[in-house]
Amino acid sequence: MSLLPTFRWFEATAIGTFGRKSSIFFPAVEVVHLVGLTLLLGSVLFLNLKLLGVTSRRQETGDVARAVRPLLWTAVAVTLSSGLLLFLTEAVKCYFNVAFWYKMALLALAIAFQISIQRRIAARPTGFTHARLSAAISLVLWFGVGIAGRAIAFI
Amino acid sequence: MTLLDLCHRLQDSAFGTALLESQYWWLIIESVHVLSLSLSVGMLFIADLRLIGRFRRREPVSDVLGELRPWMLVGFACMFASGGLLFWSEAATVFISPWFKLKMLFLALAGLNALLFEFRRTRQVAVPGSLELPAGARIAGWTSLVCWTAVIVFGRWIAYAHT
Repeated sequence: MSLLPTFRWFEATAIGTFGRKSSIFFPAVEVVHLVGLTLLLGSVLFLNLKLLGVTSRRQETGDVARAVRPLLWTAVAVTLSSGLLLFLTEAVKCYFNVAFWYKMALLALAIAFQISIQRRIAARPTGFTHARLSAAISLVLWFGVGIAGRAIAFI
Repeated sequence: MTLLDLCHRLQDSAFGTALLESQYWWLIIESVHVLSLSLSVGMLFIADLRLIGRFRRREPVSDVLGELRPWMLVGFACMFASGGLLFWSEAATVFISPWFKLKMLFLALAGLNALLFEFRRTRQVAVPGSLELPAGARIAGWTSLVCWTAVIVFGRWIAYAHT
């Protein structure tokens, strides 16, 4: 079954229709998306630099992870909700855009990795190799989301 | 020669034209510019949140700033290098954009705010590792958050306005 009818339905929603008619809706929401991305990738970097052992050397990993968590998830909420609004205005274009599908796959993987493995690794002391490996995977996934997202506009 | 003339010269130079007309380089440089936001402004936002007392309050400001500074500086180096190249390729086009001027204004304000804060902080005789906020830290933190958000907003708007 193709998802195309569903995507057409998304685009036909009231928000989607309004977004395409307004000249300011898309840019305004995209700016929010961009500020959210700054905080999101900033928090991701902050946590992973600690896991890599290059910053916050005097702090416990668990403390750093707890401090960053509210920032990270606030930023995820801002980027996801603004991203959903952007998606509604051009769902069909996204459907035919290969970068969009890469972005969604990477996003799902990044969130799943963050709430499962990385949460466990950051919570209690583990071997340095595990911490570094987890940091590398997290960085690749989250920055992959960013690069694929940028690519949507270029394709 | 006016500034605008200079911008025309930059944009029309062989390098500027090649950059704008290259299929991939411009996109790559632009992506570097956007994603370096995480390292530069993203880290700075975290430092600002410490200054306004919303992040790791039990840790001295000097410690938080000290560990973030080298990473932020790398981020801002990437930002200015990629931004400089983007400007080179369309200097005259963006120079006349009011959004570009607003971006530069807020960039200057953000820089001034950071300089003032550092200047006051280094002159202050603080107990090392003190949890007390340096003078004006809250105001400096809020000013930085507002100015950098404005830089991002107006920066994005430049591209919307001339397409």
